[in-house]
This record gives sequence, structure tokens and C-alpha cells, in this order.
Amino acid sequence: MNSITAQYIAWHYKDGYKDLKNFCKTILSFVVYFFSVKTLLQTFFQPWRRIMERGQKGKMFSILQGFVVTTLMRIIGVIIRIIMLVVALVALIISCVIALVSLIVWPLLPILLVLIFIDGVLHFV
Amino acid sequence: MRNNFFDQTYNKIDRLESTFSHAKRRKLRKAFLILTLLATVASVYPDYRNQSTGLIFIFGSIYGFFSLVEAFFYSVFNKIKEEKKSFATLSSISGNQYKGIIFHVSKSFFGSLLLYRLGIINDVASDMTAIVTEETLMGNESTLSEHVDITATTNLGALMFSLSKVSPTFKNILEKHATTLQQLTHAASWLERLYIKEIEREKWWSEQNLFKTQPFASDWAYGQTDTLEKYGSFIPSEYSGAESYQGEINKIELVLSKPTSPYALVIGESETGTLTLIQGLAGRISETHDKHAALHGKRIFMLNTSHLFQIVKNGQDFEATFSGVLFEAERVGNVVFAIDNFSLFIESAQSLGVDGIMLLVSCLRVSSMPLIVLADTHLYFQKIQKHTELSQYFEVVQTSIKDKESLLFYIQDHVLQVEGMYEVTFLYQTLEVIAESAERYFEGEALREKALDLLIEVAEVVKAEKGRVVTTENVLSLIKQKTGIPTGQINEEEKEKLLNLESLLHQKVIGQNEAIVSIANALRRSRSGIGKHNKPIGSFLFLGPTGVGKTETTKALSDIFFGEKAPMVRFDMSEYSGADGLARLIGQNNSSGLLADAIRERHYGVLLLDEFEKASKEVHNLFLQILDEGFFSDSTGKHVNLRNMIIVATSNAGSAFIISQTGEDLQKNKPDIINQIISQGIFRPELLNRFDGVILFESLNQEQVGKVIQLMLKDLSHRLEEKGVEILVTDELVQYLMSHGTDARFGARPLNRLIADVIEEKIAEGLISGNIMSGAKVSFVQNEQGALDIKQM
Repeated sequence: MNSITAQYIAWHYKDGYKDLKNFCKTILSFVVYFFSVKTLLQTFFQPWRRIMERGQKGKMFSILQGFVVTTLMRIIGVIIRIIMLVVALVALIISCVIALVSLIVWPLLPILLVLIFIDGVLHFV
Repeated sequence: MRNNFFDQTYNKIDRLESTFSHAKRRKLRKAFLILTLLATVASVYPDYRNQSTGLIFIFGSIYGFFSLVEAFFYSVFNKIKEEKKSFATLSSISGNQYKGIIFHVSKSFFGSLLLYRLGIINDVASDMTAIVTEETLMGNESTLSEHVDITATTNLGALMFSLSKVSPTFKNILEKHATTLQQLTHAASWLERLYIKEIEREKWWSEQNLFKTQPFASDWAYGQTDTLEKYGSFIPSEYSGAESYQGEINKIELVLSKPTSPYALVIGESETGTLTLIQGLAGRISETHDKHAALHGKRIFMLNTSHLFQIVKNGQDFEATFSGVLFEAERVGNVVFAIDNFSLFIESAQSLGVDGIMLLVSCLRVSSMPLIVLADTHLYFQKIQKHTELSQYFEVVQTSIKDKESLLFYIQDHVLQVEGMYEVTFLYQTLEVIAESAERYFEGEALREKALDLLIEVAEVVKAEKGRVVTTENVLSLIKQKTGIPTGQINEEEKEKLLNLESLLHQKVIGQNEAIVSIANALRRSRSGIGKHNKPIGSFLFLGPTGVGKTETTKALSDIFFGEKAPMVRFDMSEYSGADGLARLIGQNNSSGLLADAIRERHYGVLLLDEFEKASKEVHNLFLQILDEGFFSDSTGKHVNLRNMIIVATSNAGSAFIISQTGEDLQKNKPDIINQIISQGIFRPELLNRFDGVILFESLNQEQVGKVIQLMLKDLSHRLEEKGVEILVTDELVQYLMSHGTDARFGARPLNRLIADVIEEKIAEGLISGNIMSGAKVSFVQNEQGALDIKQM
């Protein structure tokens, strides 16, 4: 096991595959992080951009006005968050598929590359 | 048995690294990606579709091949790093060492880089044949492993150093360039650190890099910042050049994470320094993934003080706006509030009739948002430290560097940037010299900036001279130019001076052999670089009666060593005997002191302290520190550096005893004299011990007085030459001056006055009245009354 090709092959099917698995995991958690999924869920019903009004004490109309504004902002917040969560879900699904495909393709990759190369050359023959 | 290590290639990838480097592979990989894309574009044309597809497959597969090789490389690199092994060492020694290890290591990527940075690559290359022969002669592989002890964690520099045992030629080269083990090791770890940093930066997919990005929608839970951004800006979390601030960043992070009073007062040397620090902090926060960390998800908002004061109209408006901005920031919910330039904040507020400190304090009472205030040292000592309520709220973080190590680290972080800007290369030794010089030749404050300035300026100079490599000589000559302090290689003239310092001093000072030898020795020690760097160049206490040459020696010293034009800094210490003595020297209530000002103006030369014994006890204590550490802090807290000065204190203490000992061996009785001075409470023993030398000046004997007179008359005749008058120095004249111009108590001091009163006066009269014309030759004879008469010849 002294040639570089041999070492590479050993790496490709052992540590390399492990690295790829870790990489897939990292990417998936990155998608969750990037779309702030946890924060979105935790603050799901919070008013949009913390815009809220408290009515003046004792004044019915003012209190009502404050309630309406805050509720409106909550609804807007919920809608935007749902949209975002859907986008995040789609991104997550896509990433999962890519991760799965790469985990399947990885073991075949060395041979695949050689075949593709040969196929490319055959186009000129 | 041969040292196993050299056979054991850690992994073939490091061999690949030395033959086909990562940087080259990266470029090639990129090229194939571009070719693949071009082929894809070409495939749009139906006529070329077949060929294009073929090219896509060929280029694409080659690109894929390189990608796999790189994945392999990164993985191995990571493993080596995790195991705390040295990638530089491993990649330098792997492969066939058919011409010996030194040859192999020197030609490797890291090895040649290291030799190049140390400025010895050409010497090694030209002597390579000799080195290879010597190593072959050592021949026997077992001898080699005896000499070279190496493991995977060995630093490449240390490896190089131990290789010098194998080849005397290689050893000679290292010695010729004064390359030490420490330098080799430090340079190697610096280069390796740079390499690791570069590789880490490339790995965009690493957890560290991915999670640095600002997450989308992370602010949605927080308020809007539009109003806030009118008065300042959010600090981007780019992480640059803040490596040497890790200690300070840790401290600030701790302070800001406290549940109560999360307020940090950052005392900085300069604005750029503190800004780098805050950027570093922003970087650190963005890397915090621990959801429970107090600063997780926070952003630093920096209030632009000067901009704020441009906007506000009056005091009331300022108060309202400032508290409004603070309130707004708190409402947003994820803000760390920073106020830059707090000095300006206080001053501008004051000009609007508002107490800025009180305003901030009153806002803090109702807020719990983390806050950073950036202030300079001067302001801190002047105002903030005394403000009890403010200092109760804040925890102080000092950013000044005191040690050379972290300064060097800081310089190393910035070298590549400066090199890129000026297209020059710094030798590693240069960086050390810059760190050392910044510390030694400039005031204690703003060390980082001083060092960075030096780095940039020397790069400018070298570029202007069309040079490519910055050497230590470049740095030293720049410093000499900037400060007037002789640094660098001792030139012929100076060498001559240093070696003959005793005889040069004797030309101006009569007698006093002990004094002159001690001074000369101390100066030679200092200039040869073996003197202590954290003390003044030399410090002496001259003890002896009046008029025996104490001041004259000091003057002669200043003339010879620092040049005749260099004025001495002179203090009559009898003026500082009162209770206010210390305050007048170091300043009080924001006014800087006389000593502080004088040294800042001229921090290089001789400081003469006349009648030192008369200064107050506090002043003596001040000098206790100065003699020990080479600096003191003035009333505003700023460092005053005396490390480039020779300090001479003179005193008449013990002179009665010295006079009574005339003709005896004074040096033998030196301990008695010193004990007497101590027992009389004139100087404390610890003060006397701090001086490099306590030097006794003997009373002058008749012969010496005669020589003094000759010297003085010689000086006078020089002055008269300008007027075209020649004075004849006769024995009679010398005898007259000796008998009338000296006494036991005042030594030779009355001579000056006598010469002025009698000789100069008479010649002046003659010149004015026209009795003496230019070209005249005069002599002096004693008349019957015993007085001197002038006679024209």
C-alpha cells in the first residue's frame, strides 16, 4: 500500500466516505440554520418586526386600536413566517435528495470518472 | 538503524504537495471548470454538438478528478492539524532524499519558503554541494538519527536547526546570519500558521465557514433598525487582523455576558486599534453557535459620535436624540451598543452644556443592553477614573500591549497585507526588529500602531529605492532617521569613538580615571546590544566636591556620544525639594510636568540632574522607578520613555570626606563614604543600588589644576582666534590662575570666573578701545601689586 493511488482508494472508501457523510450532515443543519427555522418556530406568533401598540389606559378606543394593530402585525408575521418555513422545507428536501444521491454515487465515482473520460475521447474517434 | 521517521511518509499527499503544490492544483482545477463551461456553451451550436459533448466529458472528468484529489488533500490536512502534527515538517521531509535530508528539505515548498524568509536561501543554494558532501560523509544513517531527533510534531524550524549538526557548512551559514533556534522556530510556525489560515479560508464548506454567514430571517424576530442606522452603523463580522486581540476580546465577551451591568469600557491606544478589536468581537459573536450564550445572535451597533453631533441642534435636542437612539437600540432586542470616541462625546456634550457622563449614567439606570464605550487612556485617567458612579457601572478593559511577543504576533498578522500593497518581501528578522524597535524607541503607548506605521513606512522606503526585500538594516536606518538615535551596525567612526571613549573623554576632563572607565564600559555594553533594553542606556551618580569635573564629564559625554549639537536635558534638583516637587516634574491636574515635557521633546541624550541629594523623597522614589524600568507615567497616565537616555545625577554628598582624603586612595575608602551617605539619610541604599555606577570624583591636585587651566586657556584662545587675537600662555599666567582661581571647597570652579573677570575683560577693553587690533599677539604679566597686566607683543 505504498503508491499514492492505493492510498487514495483506501481513503476514498473509508475516511472519504465518512467525510462525505459528515459534510451532508453539516449541509442539512446549515439549511436549518440559514433559514432560522428554530427562531421562526419559536417566534411564530410574535408581531412582525416587534411592531406593536399598547393603547392608553382607560381609553376604550385606544386600547381597541392597539389591539387591532398588534393582531394585524401578528397575522402578517405568521403569514411571512409560513412562507419562509415552506421555502426552508423545500430547500431541505432538495438538500436531502442531493445528499442521498451523492452518498450513492460516491463509491462509483472513481470508475464513473474514468468511464466519462473514455466516453469523451470516443466522441472524437 | 535509520531514523524510522524519514521513511515513514505520513501520507503520500504530503509528497504530492512538495512536487505538485496545492496552489497549482487549485489553479488547474479552476481552469478545467472554465473549459467545461465553455464546452457547454459551445454545445448550443448543433454543428459542434458531438465534439462539444466530448469535450464536456473530458474536461468535466478531469475537473472531477482534481476535485477528488483536493478532497483527499483537505481531509489529510485536517487530520494532520487535528493530531497537532506539523504539516510543514511532514511535507518537507517526505519523498526520496536521494541527495540527503538538508538538500531535500531546502528544496521543499515550506523549507525553501522558510530559508527565503530568513534571507539565507542564496547562501544555502550556493554551498549546496558542500552540504550534500558533508551529509554523505556522515554517511551512516544511524549517526544521522543520533543527531536529528524528529517526530511528526517537530517544528520545521527546529528540524532545520538540528540539521545544522549534520553539516558544518550549513551551521556556518546559520551562524553567519545570526539565525537562532528561536528565530527558525518562530518563523516556521508563522509560515505554517499563514498556510493553515489560507487553507481554512478556502474550505467554504467547513462548519466554521458556513455558520459564519448571517442567517436569513434571523432579524425577523427583532425590531427594525432604520432609525438607528441614521446615527451609526452595524459592525460587519468580517474577521481581520484581530488575532493578537484574543485576550481583550475574551475579556469584553465576559463583561458583556454578565447578567447585570454588561458594560465594558475599552481603554484604547488609538482609534484604529479599538476598531479592529470591535470587528474582532463582532467576528467572535457571529461564530458563537451556542444558543445559550448571552451574545448569541447579537449585532454590534457603533454610534458615530461626530455624526451625532452634526445632527443635533442644541443640548436638549442632544439629550433627547441620544436617549432615543439608546431606547430604539434596546427595543430592537439583539443589539450590542458601542460608543466610539468617548472623549469627543464628552467634549461635544460639554460644548452644548450637557454633562455627557451623567447623561450616559442616567440612561444606564433604565437599560440592560450590553454596552461598549471606547475611550483613550488620556481621557480615562483625566475624567472617567475619578467618576465614581461611572466606574461602578463599567468594567475596564485595557488594550495596550506590553509584551514583545504579542506585538510580534500582531505584526505577523499584517505583513502579507503590507507586502501586497508595496510589492516587497519582509525577511522574518525584520519583523522581530520592528517589534523590538517599536517597543524600545517609541513611547509606551499605541505600540501596535507604531509598529504598523514602521512596517508601512519601511515598505514605502524600500519600494521607493526600487528594492524588493526589506532587511533589518532598512528598518534600523529608518529609525535612526526618525529618532536620531544611532541604531544598526556600528559604523567605523562610531566604532572608533566607542573604543577610544576613555581618551576622548580625557581630552575634556582632567583626572577622574575611575569615572571615565565606568562610563565608557557602560556605553560600550549598551551599544553592542548586550545592555538591558528595559532600562536607561546608563545611569550614574557622580559624587564629589564642587569644581572637580562632574558637570564637565557629563557635557563631554553628551558631546562625544550624542554629538555636539545635542543639548543636554538639565534639571537643578534643588528646585524640587518641596512638597510640590514631584507634581512639578510629572504634572498634576491635566497639566503635563516639566520632566515629562522635556523628555518627550528629546527622548534621546543625556539627562543631568544637578544636586540630586536636594530633591524631595518623592522625587527620589520616582527615579527609583525610572532607573529600574526606564519609564514613568505622567499625571495623565501616559508613559514617558527614558530608555534611550543616559541619566547622570550629581551630588556634593560626602564631599567633606573626599576633600579630607586628598592624596589618599579614594577608591579604597569608597565603601566608607557610601556608608556615611546612607547613615546620614541623604540617599537610601536601594536608590544607590539602582544606579549603574556610583562614581567618586576626587579633589584635583596641583598638577591636575594646572591641566584644567591649560584646557580653559586653550578654549579661550580658540574663541579669540575668531577675532584674530592670539594669546600667549605662559607659566606665569598659569601660576597666577592656580593661586588665585582655586580653593579646596570649590575646586576649579572659581577659575571660570577669574578668567572671565581678568583675562577676557582686559582683552575686551583693548578690542573696544582699539588698543588691540586684529592680528595682535598678547600676553599677561604680573605687576608689582600682584595684579595681571596685559601686554601686546
